[in-house]
Amino acid sequence: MRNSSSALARHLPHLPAVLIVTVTMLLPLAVLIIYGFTSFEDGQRTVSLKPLARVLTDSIYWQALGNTVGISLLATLVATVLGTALGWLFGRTDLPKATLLEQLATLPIFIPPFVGAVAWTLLAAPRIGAFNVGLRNLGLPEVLDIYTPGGMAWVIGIYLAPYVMMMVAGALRSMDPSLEEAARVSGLDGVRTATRITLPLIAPAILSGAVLAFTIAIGLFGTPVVLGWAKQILLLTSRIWIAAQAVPPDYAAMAILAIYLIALSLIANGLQRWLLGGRSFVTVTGKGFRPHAIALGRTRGPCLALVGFYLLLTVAAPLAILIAACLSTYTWSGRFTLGNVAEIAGSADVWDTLKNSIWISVVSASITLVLGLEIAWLANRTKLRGRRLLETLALVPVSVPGIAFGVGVMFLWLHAPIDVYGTAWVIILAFVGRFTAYAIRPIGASLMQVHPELEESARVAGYGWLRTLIHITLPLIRPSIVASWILLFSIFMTELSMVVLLYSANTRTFSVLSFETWSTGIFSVLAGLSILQLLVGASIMLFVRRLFGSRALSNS
Amino acid sequence: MMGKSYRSFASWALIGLCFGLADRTAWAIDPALVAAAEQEGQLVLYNCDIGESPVQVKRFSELYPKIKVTTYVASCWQTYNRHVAERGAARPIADVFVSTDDVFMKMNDEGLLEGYASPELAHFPANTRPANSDYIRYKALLAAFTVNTDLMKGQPIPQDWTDFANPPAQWQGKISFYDPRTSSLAFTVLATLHQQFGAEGARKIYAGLKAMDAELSSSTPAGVTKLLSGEKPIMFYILTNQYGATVAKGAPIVFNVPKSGAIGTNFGVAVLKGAPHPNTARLWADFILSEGQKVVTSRAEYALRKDAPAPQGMPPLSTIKILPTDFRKALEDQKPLIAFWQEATGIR
Repeated sequence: MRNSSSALARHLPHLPAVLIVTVTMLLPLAVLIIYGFTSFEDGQRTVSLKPLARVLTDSIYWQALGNTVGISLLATLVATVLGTALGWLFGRTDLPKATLLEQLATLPIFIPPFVGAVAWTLLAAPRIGAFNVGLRNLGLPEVLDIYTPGGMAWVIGIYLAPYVMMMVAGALRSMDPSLEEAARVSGLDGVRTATRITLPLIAPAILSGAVLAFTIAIGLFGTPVVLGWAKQILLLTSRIWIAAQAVPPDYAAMAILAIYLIALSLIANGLQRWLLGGRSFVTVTGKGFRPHAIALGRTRGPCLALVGFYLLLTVAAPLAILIAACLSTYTWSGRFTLGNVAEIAGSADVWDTLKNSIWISVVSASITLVLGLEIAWLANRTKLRGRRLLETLALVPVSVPGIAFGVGVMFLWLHAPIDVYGTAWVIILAFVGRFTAYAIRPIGASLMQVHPELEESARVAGYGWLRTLIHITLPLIRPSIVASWILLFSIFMTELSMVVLLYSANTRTFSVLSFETWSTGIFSVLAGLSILQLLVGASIMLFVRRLFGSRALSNS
Repeated sequence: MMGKSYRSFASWALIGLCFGLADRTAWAIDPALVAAAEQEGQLVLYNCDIGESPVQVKRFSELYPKIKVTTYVASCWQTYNRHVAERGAARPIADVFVSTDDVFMKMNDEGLLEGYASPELAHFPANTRPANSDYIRYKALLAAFTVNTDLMKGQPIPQDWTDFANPPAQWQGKISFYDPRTSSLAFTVLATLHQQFGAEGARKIYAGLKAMDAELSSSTPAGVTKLLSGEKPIMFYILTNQYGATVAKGAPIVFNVPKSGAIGTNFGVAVLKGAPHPNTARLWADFILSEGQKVVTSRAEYALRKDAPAPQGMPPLSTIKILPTDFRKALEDQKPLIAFWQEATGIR
């Protein structure tokens, strides 16, 4: 009796987390599964394997699965290589102006992916792409074609690289550098220290970043449609979109294809766990430390050039395209005007939707962060029964494409006995449900690096779990927490595929406004809206960084 | 070809003076309806004319500032799907619907619309409210050819739908066309070509597009972006609402009605059965049929009100040859038509 009482006391504080996971993640997924394994015939819904059989026996879906896996893996490779290199350069070395460069490298996440894709068509489409025009003018062959699997993987990869970069940089800043110092004392130079000591130590963060990049890539909707439609390189999300347009929508096919993506995500997560299994990645112990920047020495110039080239491709060139488009009467008229800027500045609709986006994103990111922190902490710091199951369940929805998860959320709250549908809360709950994994991953990776001895000491000194968490654990993993919040905020500011199904009345967001503008075919105004979105997102990111700051590196 | 005169939109103000502004009292809305609508204070509009919607809402809000208008804007069948899902869950949110003939035909058959005899109907042609239907047509939407004239100088441009069956070599790699699986107008064009030219004629047109390496866009707006950037300087067709917005930016494009006829549909408005705010819905319908007609014309589109002029530089609607479309048959044949298109284009 006493044992069961104490077990209840241990579990009770975490019941809200279980409840939120159930309501925001499991129930929408359950709705999807119901639609995938039932048929609606003669006015009745009955269990049926017909939808599954239909999808399994049609070659177009296998082709979409192959495209999804191939392009997403390639994009993950691009994102992981670039993100890790940038994260290390910004988080661990004496690269000049690292803080500024890191902030610049983060900017692409504040541009909606489909806008970035349109910008890249203007850069690298056959014949008219700015890069191809440049090659032609130099007498070189026009080799770039963005409408290929490689082009799609490139665009998806470079826009996912900042996510990997933030996770890697966060982990590096939480890392005790004594092992690196020992390596250097032993005669290893900077690059060999990085490859032999640092990289293996931050393997959880890199793997987390790679898996995160993969799960985002397989669930992306806008970029594959903008770049893949022309040559019918269709991904699973493109097929889901086609199914969503049918009358009535082919919910069964949407659900089955979403289940495909869930399976891919589970495989990626399982692979990550298997690769990390049984190894210790603790680098933060009870000993005090101040991270020291690694001197790049002669490689400083090439590293700076590499970062510059990356920024040119991912920030400067697309931004230049957006600015030029915004100032053009239309793309490309060759005539410039401030009319589009004035139209945006003078529109109450623009500012109203921007306000909606900001408050919904701030509230959603904060709730998601707290939930993700609790789940990551439970999984890594307690022995409560079911903690791993809770973590796994919370990681699943991120791989479900937004449009499919949005359908699950929509039907759940449409039929719920309380009035959530039609309010901002339906969007917030959808965000929390689908994106908590984005908080669990980086925070969990950082927790793996912090030795439990610090928390155990606090417990011995009489701290309860909550005080230990607040006074010991959180300060140690603060960089990851700040990075996670910014990541979530950026995603929520630009998310479209779920919001477009769930918004209504007073909850129209900026991404919906951008999509509506795109739907008129006038890219100039869309470019202006995207620049505004980027400026607002970047300003809030800077404000949060300044407020909660990342630990500064000493150069000694 | 109707030439560069379409580009001049400087005289819209003049049109405004000629049209409607002259006599506001003629368009006076029933004060009792206005009072009842203001009492309700809110209007939820589901609209699939993405470009026009915010302009109409802005004007409505200027006239009736006490009524808060919120909108859901998406493709025509998406708005339908959403409304049906909400009704199915006994949570109808929308008050009024703006959509195309085919969608309204289905909604009418399903009993989703409430009959509203707007007093403004007296100013419209007889077929504005189709027989046995509870929606009211307020503007015509036409699909015709367009090219980027700067980039197609000295080259042949499409004159008829059948030109695409035997396209000139200069069109190779320059055409964009649209997906009837995701665009309701692309489906209307497919159905009309199939009905008017027969299966073989339509097959030749789509096979010609395929032979020219025409690029499939998910929607016509994506095609407009590529038309302007020069990536694909020939659109299989452009719609009047996109043409108006684009040419207003000074884009070098034409609106070239096919010799055998443009393909058209109509946008209509309907009050929804069980609307949470029925009076604001009726007021919106009256507005669209009166003051809203000026907005339609100002966007270079064909308003259907009898006294509405043709858009600047465009011929009167009555003089434009339009291929008839049997929407009911198109709806019935939706699946086989999509299968036909997939077989003709090799796209699955």
